[in-house]
Amino acid sequence: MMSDWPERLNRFVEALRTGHRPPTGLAQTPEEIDDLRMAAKLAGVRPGFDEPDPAFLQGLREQIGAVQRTDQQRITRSRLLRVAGIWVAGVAGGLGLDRAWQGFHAPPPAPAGTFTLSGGRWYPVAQLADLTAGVAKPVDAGAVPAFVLRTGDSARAMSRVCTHMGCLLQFDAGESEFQCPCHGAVFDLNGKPDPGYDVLSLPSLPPLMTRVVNGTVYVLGA
Amino acid sequence: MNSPQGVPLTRGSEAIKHATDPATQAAVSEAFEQYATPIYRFAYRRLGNHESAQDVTAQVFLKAARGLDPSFGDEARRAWLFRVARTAIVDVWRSYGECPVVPLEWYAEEPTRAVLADAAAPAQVERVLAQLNPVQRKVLELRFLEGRSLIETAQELGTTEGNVKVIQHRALRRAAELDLGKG
Repeated sequence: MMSDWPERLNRFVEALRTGHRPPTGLAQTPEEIDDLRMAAKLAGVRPGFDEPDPAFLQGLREQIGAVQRTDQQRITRSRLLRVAGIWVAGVAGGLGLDRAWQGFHAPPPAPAGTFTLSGGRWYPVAQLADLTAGVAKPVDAGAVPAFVLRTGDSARAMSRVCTHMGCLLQFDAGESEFQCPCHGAVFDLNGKPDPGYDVLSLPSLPPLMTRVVNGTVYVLGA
Repeated sequence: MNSPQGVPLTRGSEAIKHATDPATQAAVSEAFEQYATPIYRFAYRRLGNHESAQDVTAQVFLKAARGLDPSFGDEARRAWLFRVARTAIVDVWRSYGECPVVPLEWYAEEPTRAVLADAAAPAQVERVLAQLNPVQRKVLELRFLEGRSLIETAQELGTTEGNVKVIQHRALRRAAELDLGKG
């Protein structure tokens, strides 16, 4: 057992106490793992502490809906591609044709059987330091296209798929808004549709769960 | 893209059909409302912190959105959800240690037994604490049950923070031995 184990063990205990994810790779022996397990067990029986935050549950509910909608929109995009290949060039914009093509045709993660691919996963999408407040960065959280935005020392993300017909939105820095190249829908940086363009009263862009760990922004995708 | 190379498109199309199938969506919504909280508790009991419990819960239901079979009955659905949760919990535990020896059985129990074990856990912890010496017990109570900081605990005991870390380590070591029946 290494002599600094009480110190490393305390880092684990502090994480549990404050509700955070403990650092990985702390333990080096089976005894040390036993100590960690005992600590987790003690923290796990704290009365009233095992209830999920309602805001977390609501966020996850929306996230599940976003995944389902994304799948639906992928079908729409594929069909559009087949009938109007030229449309790709317009949508691809700065992305480049290859990338766009892959994006539209890449299969979603495999169904049951391959856990890491079909489950929700945190995808590193950006460095917080590279993000500028008010400037949305287009990213892909696995198969989920997203915009990520800086908010002070944190970040937030939302779906990059237009809620009208499933085209990929583009960020307009001058207007500070998201624009759809297909039919002109416009969303503000909170994902709310601009009523001026919104003849069909479109749904907002679903927010995606976001975390910042050691300066890296992660978005929960699939 | 993180999608696997070479996966046939038909397979992808099946997944799409599956996730957008109204029966699947209804099953996932129902499963979420019924089991999100139990799954969260299951994870929290085994991981001891909210962020990790959130990660596991999110993984379970995002996987369900794609892979849950709507034809499952209640029991099969519950077993499926808990099985996914267990795998995710074991993965978290694997990340904590460089050594491969993770006591899987404790995290990989059959759900009904696990829920019973969870119900018994507070009494079990109390029994373990009762067998520690008074200073060790006090440190664990302050740190874990009352959630006090290192400084507060040191002040309460009239000692240094460094000493609290040492006592905390010995107390956890002893408690782990007692809990595993090695004491």
